[in-house]
Amino acid sequence: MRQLVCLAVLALCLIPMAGCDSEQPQGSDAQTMQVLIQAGNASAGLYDVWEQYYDANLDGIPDETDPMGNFLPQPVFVACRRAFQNGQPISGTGKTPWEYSLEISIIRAGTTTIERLTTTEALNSTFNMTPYSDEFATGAQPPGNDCLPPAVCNSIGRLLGTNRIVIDSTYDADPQDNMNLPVNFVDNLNRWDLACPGSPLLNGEPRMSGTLAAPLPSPFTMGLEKGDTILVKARKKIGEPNGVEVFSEPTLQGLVYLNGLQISNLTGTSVSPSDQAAGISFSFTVN
Amino acid sequence: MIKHISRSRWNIPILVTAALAVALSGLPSATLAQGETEPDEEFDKLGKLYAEVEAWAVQPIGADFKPASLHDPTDVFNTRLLGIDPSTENRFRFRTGYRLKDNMGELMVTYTSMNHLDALNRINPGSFVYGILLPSQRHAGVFNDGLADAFLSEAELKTRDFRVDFYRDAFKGHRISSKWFVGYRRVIHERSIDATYFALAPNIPNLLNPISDIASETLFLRLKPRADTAMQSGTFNGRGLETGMSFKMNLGSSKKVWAEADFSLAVLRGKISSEYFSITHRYILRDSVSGGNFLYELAPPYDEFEQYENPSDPNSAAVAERIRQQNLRTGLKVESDPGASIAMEMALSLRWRVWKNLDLFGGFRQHYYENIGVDLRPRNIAPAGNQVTEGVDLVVNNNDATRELKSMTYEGLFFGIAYTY
Repeated sequence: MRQLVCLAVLALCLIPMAGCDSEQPQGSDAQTMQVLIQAGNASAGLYDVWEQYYDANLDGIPDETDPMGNFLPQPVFVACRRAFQNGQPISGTGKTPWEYSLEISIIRAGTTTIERLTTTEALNSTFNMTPYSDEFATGAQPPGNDCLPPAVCNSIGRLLGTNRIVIDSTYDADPQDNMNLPVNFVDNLNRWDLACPGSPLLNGEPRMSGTLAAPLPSPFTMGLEKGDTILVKARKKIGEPNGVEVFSEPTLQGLVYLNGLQISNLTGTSVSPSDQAAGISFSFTVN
Repeated sequence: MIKHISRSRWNIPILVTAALAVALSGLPSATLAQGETEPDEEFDKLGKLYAEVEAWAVQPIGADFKPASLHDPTDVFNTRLLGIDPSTENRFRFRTGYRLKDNMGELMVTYTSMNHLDALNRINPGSFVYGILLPSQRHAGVFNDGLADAFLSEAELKTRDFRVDFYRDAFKGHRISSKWFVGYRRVIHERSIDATYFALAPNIPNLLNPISDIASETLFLRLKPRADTAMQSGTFNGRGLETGMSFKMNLGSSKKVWAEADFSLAVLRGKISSEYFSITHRYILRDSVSGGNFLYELAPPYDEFEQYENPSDPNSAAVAERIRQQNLRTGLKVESDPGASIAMEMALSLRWRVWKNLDLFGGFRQHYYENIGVDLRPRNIAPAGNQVTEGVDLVVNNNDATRELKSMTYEGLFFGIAYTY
């Protein structure tokens, strides 16, 4: 009987051992990392922004000309009006497009070799441009007298002057008067120009409100293994990009996302001062 | 490197030992007559050759290799030393000898070697918590604070122990017998450690455009923090006379199993060679882009990296173009210092005669070598040389250095096979 009990205990011990399979693949430590550089805390003007078109015959189709018969390059356009408070133009802070140089390197787990991942650090407005502002400010005002019939206006909201919708706007409210005038010029009728900041007047690419013709700058994306360290360096270009109007220089900030979650414990300087051509330099190790 | 020993250097100890053996062979046996004085049958013949090979799982103790410390930024009293723990290595020990006829004694040659190579690495980019201990503290670390975020270190211990002994019976009882021996012993011991300390992800201003019109790759390579490195080594080469006793006790009545104990003591005199070098780095500012004179040494956090020659004109040249990184080299070498050591050896084992003259044995052995290692370290260093060139040499006052003597213990279990024919 005792032998039977011993054999049973032995058999019970062997059962879980048989379940172990050393050949089972181990869980992968690969994680997806994204690095995003953004310029924030820039001071710029706030604008009340709306979408506008003319519909004299009330057929619901935007007219090709304005009420004076002037040809409109774009039947539907975005108009901006500087936001005021107590009779004074007001400004806000937020993100702004800014060109920057970038260098991303990696130190593989267990090594001391720094491997540069970016092929160029050259200032490149196509690839190394920080995202536009995407935030709406409170207190937006309707167009009011700036949108008299037969104009039809759909309010978008109060936007910072570095918002992409504003930047990409092409409309000038009075193109005949303001073809060669700076943005926000106050004409002899004491009326604020309705062209948006950064608008290349009538020479730019038209787009519908709320749509973006070009995607936002893509974050730098790569796969990392546990123990890998990412080194990120970036530096602002001197001077704002074309069409961006800011009152003070932005700070440069580096953001790291791991599997979609933002990492907060970056080592080093991940936010630069607002000085001219300021830079950041930080690292992050996957644990 | 172990120096090769020429044959002529062994002539004297071999001749001395041989002469001693011949002299002793003329003396009456020192066997204590206690009623059990019958010689073993194996000694009735003209003589016997004896050989044994032993595998020894040996671990060194007392190496005291400490390449770095672990700094606790939140509690400075919690700083800990990081040491390289020598591993256990399986080494061989060879022993051969000749047993003279009529139980007049034995000539025995023993060679033991120990070799340990171990590493200690820590890589934690961006976290400057590793104290740089081995290099000169002058400008150690990218922030001149003696801290690194990674280090690689390697330490090596080598010991060669050669013995020529003459054994004679001291006494022989019914169960216990003993032999005394005298001889010559030579020990060569080397210890070395080298370490490299990195600043992989330092929080210093980057040199990306538009800082400089110089190709960024050039600036990157020029001002990328270089790793500090250092090496320390010492060699003891000594020889001297030794003496000792061995004991043997029969276990059981079969006379096939014995317990054995050995003890030896040697006083060694020899020479010690030691060497040290260290390379650290610093940033300096020159007064012109090409050539120029040394202006001053930069201090963390190195704001000059991202400054412009004309602060009000960002289109002016960058100050970084006038920054250089210099090597600060420190070296010291001491050759042939006199040194003395004491070597002690103890072993406890069991021996089993498995077949005719074939023995198996195993046990525990311990070697102790006093003051056999040396760590040389310059104390005060003074800069000299051309401070404008890429490298700056620091001269060392040779009289102002520390020489720390180290004692080593080797111990471990052994197992071997012996044959007499």
